[in-house]
Amino acid sequence: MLPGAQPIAATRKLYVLYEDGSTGLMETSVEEPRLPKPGRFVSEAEHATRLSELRAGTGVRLAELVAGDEERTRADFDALTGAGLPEATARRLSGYEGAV
Amino acid sequence: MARCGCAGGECACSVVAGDGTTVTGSGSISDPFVVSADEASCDTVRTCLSGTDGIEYTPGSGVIRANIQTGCGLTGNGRAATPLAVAVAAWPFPCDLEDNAGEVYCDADGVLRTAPRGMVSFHSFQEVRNYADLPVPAGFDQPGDSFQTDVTNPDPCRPAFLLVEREADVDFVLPAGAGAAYGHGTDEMYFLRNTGTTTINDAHTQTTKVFALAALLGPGASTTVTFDVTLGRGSAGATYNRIQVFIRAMILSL
Repeated sequence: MLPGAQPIAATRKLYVLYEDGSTGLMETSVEEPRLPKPGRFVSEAEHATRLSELRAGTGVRLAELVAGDEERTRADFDALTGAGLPEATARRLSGYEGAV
Repeated sequence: MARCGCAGGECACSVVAGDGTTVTGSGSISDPFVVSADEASCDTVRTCLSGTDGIEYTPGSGVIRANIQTGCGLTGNGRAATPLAVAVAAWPFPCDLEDNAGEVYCDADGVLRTAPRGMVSFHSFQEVRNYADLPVPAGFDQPGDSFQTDVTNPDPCRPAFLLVEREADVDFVLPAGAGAAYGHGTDEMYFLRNTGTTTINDAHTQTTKVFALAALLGPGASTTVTFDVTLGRGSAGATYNRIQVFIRAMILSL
């Protein structure tokens, strides 16, 4: 052991729900960490519930974006193949990856 | 001798000289006994003396002088030519001894002590925050979110030098054509624009900066190390839903 070197303190996980709707998962050795914005410490379960809500919301938005991508790229693909480009070329240019 | 209780009206008491004394006189009033001690001679006294620990004695001359036996860390024997002194080495450094050397102290039990040993310790803090797919703001270095941790100097004697490392990672959802950036305060660290035709989900990279606090942290004192993760150059519907940070510190008191 290096003389003067202090042992690295053990850390623990803390769960936070902030008033702006975000969640926080801290890993720290500080006994009572202070929150930089309004919020409260909660149980792991409560944090997990809110996190699931956030991720579900992201999932919904992502699904909408992917659906929009599909519709748009399919339209581009159809326009390109309709103009006489080979399918492979049309796929690369449009980014369409779905079934024809 | 009057009232001495001897028979026949005469005193039969006698006074004799013991070792080192002389008796004169007859005991009469006009010629009383006189007991005198003999003057002590050097030869006599010298035989009564001896040396012991730390003292050297020569009976022939009567000389008494110091002859202290030293242990580790001491030199000399207590005589004028070789006084008792602390055994030290010559200062080998190019810098000035008076301005740079440390001190030695005496504790309450009479034990010599040196300056307290230096310390090195480590502080680690991590936080992951999730958000509801918030829009990435346009412009440069816009507020994203703020993080902080309190760091304490464990050394009760010395101030500490704080070496701080901060890491951040922001997760972006970038629809086709969208762009987004994040930074450490006013230093933009990452920018990506989706020039493709489909959405990029979870575009991210983790970046690190190391710096030192300008002010030393006093013995036993605490300070709050903050970390503002900024966002910017958001376009075409870019959003963020996760920020992860590490704030670590090396605490050095030497």
